[in-house]
Amino acid sequence: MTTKTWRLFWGSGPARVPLQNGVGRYVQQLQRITFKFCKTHGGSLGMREYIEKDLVEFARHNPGVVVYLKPRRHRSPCLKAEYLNGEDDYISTQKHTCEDIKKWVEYLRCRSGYPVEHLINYHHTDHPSIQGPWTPWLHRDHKLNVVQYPNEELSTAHKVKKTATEELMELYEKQKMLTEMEKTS
Amino acid sequence: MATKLKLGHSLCTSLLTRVARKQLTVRNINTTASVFAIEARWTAPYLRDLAKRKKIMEEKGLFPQDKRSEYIEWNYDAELYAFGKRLQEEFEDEVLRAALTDASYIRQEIQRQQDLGVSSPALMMSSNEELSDGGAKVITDYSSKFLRAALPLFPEEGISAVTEYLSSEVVLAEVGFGIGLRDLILCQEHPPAPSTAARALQAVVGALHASSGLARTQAFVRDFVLAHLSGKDINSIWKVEDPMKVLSGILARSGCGEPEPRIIFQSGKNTIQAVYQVGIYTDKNFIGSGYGETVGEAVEQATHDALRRLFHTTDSTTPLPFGPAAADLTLKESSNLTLQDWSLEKAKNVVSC
Repeated sequence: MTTKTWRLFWGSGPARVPLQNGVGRYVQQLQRITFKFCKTHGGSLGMREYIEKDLVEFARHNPGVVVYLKPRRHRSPCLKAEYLNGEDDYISTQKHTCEDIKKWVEYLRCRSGYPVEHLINYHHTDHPSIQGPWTPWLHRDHKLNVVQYPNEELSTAHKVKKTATEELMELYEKQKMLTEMEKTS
Repeated sequence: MATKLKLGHSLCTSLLTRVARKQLTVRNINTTASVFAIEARWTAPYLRDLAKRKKIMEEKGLFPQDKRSEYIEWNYDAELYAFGKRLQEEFEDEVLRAALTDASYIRQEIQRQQDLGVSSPALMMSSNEELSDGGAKVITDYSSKFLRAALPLFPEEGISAVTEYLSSEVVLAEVGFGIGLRDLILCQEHPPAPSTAARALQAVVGALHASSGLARTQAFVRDFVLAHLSGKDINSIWKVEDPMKVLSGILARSGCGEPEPRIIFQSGKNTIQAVYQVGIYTDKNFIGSGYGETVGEAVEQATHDALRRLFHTTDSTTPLPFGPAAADLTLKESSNLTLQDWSLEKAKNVVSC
């Protein structure tokens, strides 16, 4: 998928953080996660394995996340994550292996709840410059404060390039010097 | 026959059934579309109109929203446990429950029991009114002490304006919703009104005060409520009214000359893009500068800039201390200088102590 398509459909923006998270202390944004699965169907095999092996450890390491298990007969398994900003995310785990589910749970655990966007900036500030805005008068030569106008020197055209005459004169001078040097040696 | 077809059409209908049905159908306006699993031509406009009506209802707040607590997967005890753990705080269970119970919920429950014929309804619940009063006191008290210590030269009027902003309903509700109170508050209305959320957050602060002591509560207020000021311009929260009068008062009390605005630079005079830079001087010393489209505007901006420089609240000031830096801050009980008393002599004393 190209960047353009991503921006068109999923939007773009700077990196955001909810509620100045991390300025004071860090608060995990995932508030609850629901594992929906079937107790008998083969599609939920990986999910059942995850629940047996890894779920208790996940819950132990994340006491701030409420974990719900919702068995549903003959329905495909999925993960539903709810975040503090009121958003939720849903991931279908039909026929996923235990390892896949582990990775998806980790993905949901680390998210902020904001939609996945194309980041236009990795940093953001509300005050781009603490020195104030640039103006045409910034860093101006202080001599200009006491100049009397009209001023002849400041009114002349600003020279950018040498004129053809000046270049010829320079060449002539150079040549003259060389010939003099030859004579003396 | 047409209705039968309409009911039957769907994308997953197999081709065979579709062909079989086609042979049976009497041709009408929808026939061709439906047998090939194409929606009728009125379907899209119909759905579009429904979506439009739904949007209007949502904007007006009339669209019913699901209560999370009514789902089958809901465990209030687990939610309360996780709430404390998430914020890295220890709450006493009873107090936290009281903090999250709004008075309107208890009224509603009593009414419900009376409607069911219970003559003397017995509810073992207490509302968060007392706790929220206590919490509100902690928030205002700590905010003002913290701000006084962090901004020692900022006038007391400004400190109280910023404190008022921090304990306003809008800020507290935003913080409350941000730490997940939306689903946890027990109240009559759904979703909880901002005023309810603000009260609940104050009550949570009160509950923390009752459970873990003042030091933890102050850290909580700093990390969640005061952190709201990070990235915000404190001068836009409190604006000095009639800045020139204030500035000349301060300078007179400090034994300096009258403030004298002078144009430093100007450009585009008498055009639509005119811009002036004005500097404020006292006894030929530069004390501030500002820009404006007119001279009057530029003078006002320059005066504000001079005051910002005096109060040490310019854009380049050190940010407010949060996180580890806040631990070293000594809270200031006594009030800052007021605008009436503010002078350079007194300000020097503030800095040295």
